[in-house]
Amino acid sequence: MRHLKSYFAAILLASACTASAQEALRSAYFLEGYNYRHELNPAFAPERNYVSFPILGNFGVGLNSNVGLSTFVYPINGELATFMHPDVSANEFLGKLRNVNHIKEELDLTILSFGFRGFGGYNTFSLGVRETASFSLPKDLFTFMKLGQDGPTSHYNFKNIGVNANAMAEVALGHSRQILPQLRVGAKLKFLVGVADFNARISNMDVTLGDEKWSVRADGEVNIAAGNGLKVPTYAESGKHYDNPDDANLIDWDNLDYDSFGLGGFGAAIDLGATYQLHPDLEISASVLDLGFVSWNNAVHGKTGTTSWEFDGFDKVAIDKNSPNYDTNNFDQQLENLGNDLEDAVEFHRLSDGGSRTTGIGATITLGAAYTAPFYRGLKGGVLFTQRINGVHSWTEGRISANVTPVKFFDASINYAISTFGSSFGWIINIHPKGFNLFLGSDFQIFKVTPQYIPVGNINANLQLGINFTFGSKPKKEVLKPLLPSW
Amino acid sequence: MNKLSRISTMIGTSIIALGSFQSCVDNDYDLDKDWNLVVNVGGGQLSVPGSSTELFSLEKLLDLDPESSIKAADQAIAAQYALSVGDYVLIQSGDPSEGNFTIDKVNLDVNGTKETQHVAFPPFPAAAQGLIGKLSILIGEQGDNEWKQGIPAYQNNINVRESNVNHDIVSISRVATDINITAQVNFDIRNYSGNVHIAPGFKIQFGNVVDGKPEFEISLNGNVPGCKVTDGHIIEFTQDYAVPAAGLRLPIHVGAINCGNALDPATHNFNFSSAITTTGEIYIDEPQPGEAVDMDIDVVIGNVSGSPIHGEITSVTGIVDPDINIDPVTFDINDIPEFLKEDSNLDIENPQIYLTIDNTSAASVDIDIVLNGNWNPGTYAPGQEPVVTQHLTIKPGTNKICICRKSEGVDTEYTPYVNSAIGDLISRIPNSIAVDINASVVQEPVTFELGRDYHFTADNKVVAPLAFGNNLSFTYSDTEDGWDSDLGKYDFNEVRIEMKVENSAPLNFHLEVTPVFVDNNSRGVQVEIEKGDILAGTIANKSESDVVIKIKGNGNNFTSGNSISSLRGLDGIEYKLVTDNNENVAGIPINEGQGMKFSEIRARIIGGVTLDLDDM
Repeated sequence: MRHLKSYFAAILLASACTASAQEALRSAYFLEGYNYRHELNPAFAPERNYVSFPILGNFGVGLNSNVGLSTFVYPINGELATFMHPDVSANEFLGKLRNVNHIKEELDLTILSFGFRGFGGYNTFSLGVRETASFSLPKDLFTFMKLGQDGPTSHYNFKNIGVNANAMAEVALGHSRQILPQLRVGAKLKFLVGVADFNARISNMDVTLGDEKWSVRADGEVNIAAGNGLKVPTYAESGKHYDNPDDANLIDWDNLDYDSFGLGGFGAAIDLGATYQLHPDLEISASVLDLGFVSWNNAVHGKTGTTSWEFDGFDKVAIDKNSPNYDTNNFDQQLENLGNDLEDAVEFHRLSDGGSRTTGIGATITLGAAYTAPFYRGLKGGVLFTQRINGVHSWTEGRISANVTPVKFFDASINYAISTFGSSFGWIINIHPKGFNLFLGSDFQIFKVTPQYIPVGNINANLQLGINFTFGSKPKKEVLKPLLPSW
Repeated sequence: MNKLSRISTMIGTSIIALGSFQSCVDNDYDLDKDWNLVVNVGGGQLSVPGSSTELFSLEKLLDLDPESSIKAADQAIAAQYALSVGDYVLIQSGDPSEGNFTIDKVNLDVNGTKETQHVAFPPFPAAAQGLIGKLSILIGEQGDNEWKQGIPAYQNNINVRESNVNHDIVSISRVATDINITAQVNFDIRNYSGNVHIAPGFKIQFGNVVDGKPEFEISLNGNVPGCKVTDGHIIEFTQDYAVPAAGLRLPIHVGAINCGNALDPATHNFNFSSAITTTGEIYIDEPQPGEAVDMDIDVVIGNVSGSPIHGEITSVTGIVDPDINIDPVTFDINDIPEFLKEDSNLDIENPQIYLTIDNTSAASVDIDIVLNGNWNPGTYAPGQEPVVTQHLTIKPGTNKICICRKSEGVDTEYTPYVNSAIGDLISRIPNSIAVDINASVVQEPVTFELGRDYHFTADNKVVAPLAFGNNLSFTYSDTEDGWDSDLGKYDFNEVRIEMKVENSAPLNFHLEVTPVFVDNNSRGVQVEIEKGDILAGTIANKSESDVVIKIKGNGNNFTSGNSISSLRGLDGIEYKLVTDNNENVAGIPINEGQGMKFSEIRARIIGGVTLDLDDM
C-alpha cells in the first residue's frame, strides 16, 4: 500500500504515456485545412493530396474520464489522502461522482496514411492499430466503499460494472465524392484484424450488510479472446487446490498465460458520411463510423456462479485447542473460508473455451453544423454532436466551436464541449502551407495539473500533433446552389 | 479584413491556443508529497452478524494438570461416591499414619512350699496276713482302723509375685502364664520295702474356684499313666499308680492364673498366693508280719530347696494403657487452579475424609484426629486457620470411617461421622493437610498379649466432590493483553459487543472487566459492562443470559493531525468471572461436560474501523 501513489500515477499515466495517435481531433472537425477530417466523416476530403510522416502523421496522447484525481485524492494537512480518509466527508466525495463513472482510454496508431484525388473524388488509405480500454463504475460502488453499513441493514445494488479492453489492426480504404452540388458523400471500408479482446461486466450486484447477515450476489460474465497463444486455465487444469467441487471450473487468473502471438479474429467495418450545404453559409454533416464486427476465435466465456454468498456469522468457533474440531473450526480458518466463499461468489466460472464469438466494435455517430459568419468569411461557428455507441462504455458529447482561418495557410479553432466526461475546452492550430502540414491541438485542454502533469480535475486530456506532406493544388471551390437562399 | 488584421488574428489565435497549452500547476496535488493512507472502513457502523462458539467447557476453564488432585470421575469413582461420570471431585490420598505399640512380658517368681506328715502303723500281726490286703493312708479323710488311717489334707502354699510391674498394665483380672512347676510326693518309709501306690481319686488341687473360674489353669507337662487334669486345676489319678522309688513327680505347666486384685494399684506389685490341696488315698501292700511300718510323706510344690521358680506372664486380661505413638503425616493437594485457592470460599457441599484404620491389637483404641491445613501466607489471619478434630473409637481389626460434612453420598462401606468443620478446612483448598492422630487404648478389660508388637495404621484419603453450597464464591480471572501494538493500526471509537451466553454449569457468574493500559494512563478510554450476569444452569436445563460489553475510545483518532488513536494506550482487558449467590444450584456437582457457549455474538463498531494502510 505504500506504493499507492505509484499505482495512482501508473493508472493515470499508463494510457496517457502511451505513444499514440488518437482519432482525429473533434476540435478540427470544421477546419478545412485539417487533413484528417475524413477520420470523423468520410465525406470530408482534405484540401490537397497528402502523405503522413510515418507514425507521426497523426500523433497524440489522450485519456477521458468523468472523474479525476481530485475526486479520489485530497490534500489534508500537507499530505495527500484518499477518498476513504475519515476527514473526507462522504457528501464531498460522493458529490463529485456521476451516476456512472467512466475512465476511457482510446488510441489509434496510424502507421501510414495518405490521400489523393482520383476516381472522381478523393481517396484515402490508412494502416493503423487501435486500442481501447475503458472502465465503468457505478456511483453506488463508491457509496458502498465510503459509507459501508449505515444502520442496522444497508443494501446496495450495483449495475453495469464494466471493464473492456480491445486491440486490433485496421486497414481502411476510403472514397468521397460530390454527388450533388450540395451533397457530398463518403465511405470507408475497413478490414479489421483482431489482436485481443477482453470484456468483463457485472450486470447486477446486490450487496447487503446488516446485523443479521452479509450477502453478495453477482451476475456477470467475462469474454476473452487473444489468439491461440492465450491460455485461460481453470482451477482443475492448473492443479490449484479447491474444496468445493463447483470450484473446479473457476478461472485461475494467477496462471493466465500468453505464450505466443496469434491473431484473435477477423472483421470488417464501414464508415459512412455525408455533408450537405444547406445554405451558402450553413453546412450540415453527419456520419456513422465503425459499423462493423470482429469474429474472435479461441474465445473464452465465463460467468459468475449462480449462488449468492451469505454470511450469517461464524458458527461454533472452536476455542479449545484440544477440541477435535479445532483445526477446521478455529477463528482463523473460518475467516479464511469466509474469504474463499466470497471469492467463489464473485469469481468467474469458465463455461466455454476455444469457441468463437462475434462482437461489434462500437459505432460512433457524428452530427455537425457549421455557419460561416457573414461579416467575416474567415470565421465559422460550428456545433458538433458525437455519440459513441458501445454498451456501458457509451459516451455523448456536444461541442461548440469558433473556427478561424485568417490566412490561407493557417486555421485555428477554439471550442467548448460538454460530454459524459464533463466539460472541456479544446483548441487547435493548423499550419498548412503548400507542401507541408503541421498541426497541434487538444480536444480536452487541462488547466490544472500536478507537478507531475497529471490533471487534477476530471481526467480529460489529450494532445495531438501531426506532420504531413501535402502536394497538389487545392480544388476550385464550386459555386454551390444551396438549398436555402441566402438570408 | 486586411492583411495586417489577418496576421494579427493568426498570431493572436496562436497565442491564445498555445497559452492554453500552459496549465496551472496545483502544488496541493503534488504526488511526491507524503501520502496519508489512513482509511475508514464500514462507514456509520460495521456489524458482524451473529457468530457462535463451541462449548467453552469447564474442562477448558479448569485446565487441570494430569497430576492434579481434582479429577473428573470415571465410572468406578462415580459409582463409589454416588456421582455422575465426569463430575469433578478432589481426591487425594496421603501416606498412612502408622504406629506400633507393645507391652513387655512380665517375669514372675513362683514360690511353693513343702508339707510333711508322719504316719505310723502298728506291727503287722501274722494272723492278719492276707486278710488286710493293704495299709492305706487316707489324706484328708477320717481313718477307719489302724490299717486305714486318715491324715489331714496337705495344704501347700504357692505364691506368684513380681514387683513394679510395667505400668502399661493398669489392672489385671487374669494372666496367661508360662510357669513350669513340679508337684512332688515323697515317701520316707521304714520297715517296708515295697511300692507305695496311689489309689484312684488321689487329687492335687491347685487353688480354688472363684467366680466359677479356677484360680490356676494347669496342664500336665508329661504323660503320667492314669493321671489327668480335671476342672482345669485338679490333678487326679483315675487308676492305681505305683509310685516309683524316687517318689511321685508331676511336671505341671501353669497356663493361666485368674488373679483379680493381684496387682496392687499403689505399688504396682503383682502378688498372688493360693493353696494347693492334696487329698486322696495312698497305700502300701501288707508288710511282713511283725513289721511296724512308719513313713514320712512330703508334698512339695516347687523346688525342694525352696528357691523360686521363674516364669512369665504372656498375656494379661485386664486394663492396659500402652503408649501408642503415631507419626503425623502430611499430604499435598496437587495442582489446584489458582482461582479455586485464592480469595475464594468454595463452600464444598460435602467434603469427606476416608480413613481405613487397622488395629491389630485386641484392644479398642480411642483416637483424636486433628487435621490442619497449610495455606499460602495471608489466606487466614494467624490463629484463624480452620482445624478439624474428630474423636473416634477404633475397634480391633479394620475400621472404615468417613469424616464428612453430610452422611449422604458417602461410600457405603464406610461409617460416616458428620463434622461441620471439614467444610471450613476445604473452603479454601489448602496446599497440604497434616494429619495428626493421638491414640490411647480404651480403658476397658481386654486380653492383651505381652511382648508382641501391635500395629496401628490409618490410611487417609480426601474426597471432595466439587458440588458447592450456598456460600460459594470464587473469581476466575484472566488477562488478554498486547493489544496496544495492534490498536495503533486499527482504530475505532466505539464498539458494542452483544452475545447470548448459554450456561450449563451450576454456577452463577458476574462478568467484570477492567481495562489494562500500557502505562496505567487511561486517556479517557472506557470499558463498560452493560449486562454482565450469567445465570447458572445444568446440562439438562441450560440457562441463557445476555451479555453486553461496550468499549469507548477517547474521541481522538488518526485523522486529527496526530497519530494517537482513540484507543491508544489500551493494552487489553482483565476479565473476571465472579461467582457467588448460588443458592438455586447448591449441591449440584460441576462436571467436565458443563460449560458456556456463546452465541449470537454481534460486534457493532460505531463509526467503522479506521486503519493505516501503510502499516498493513
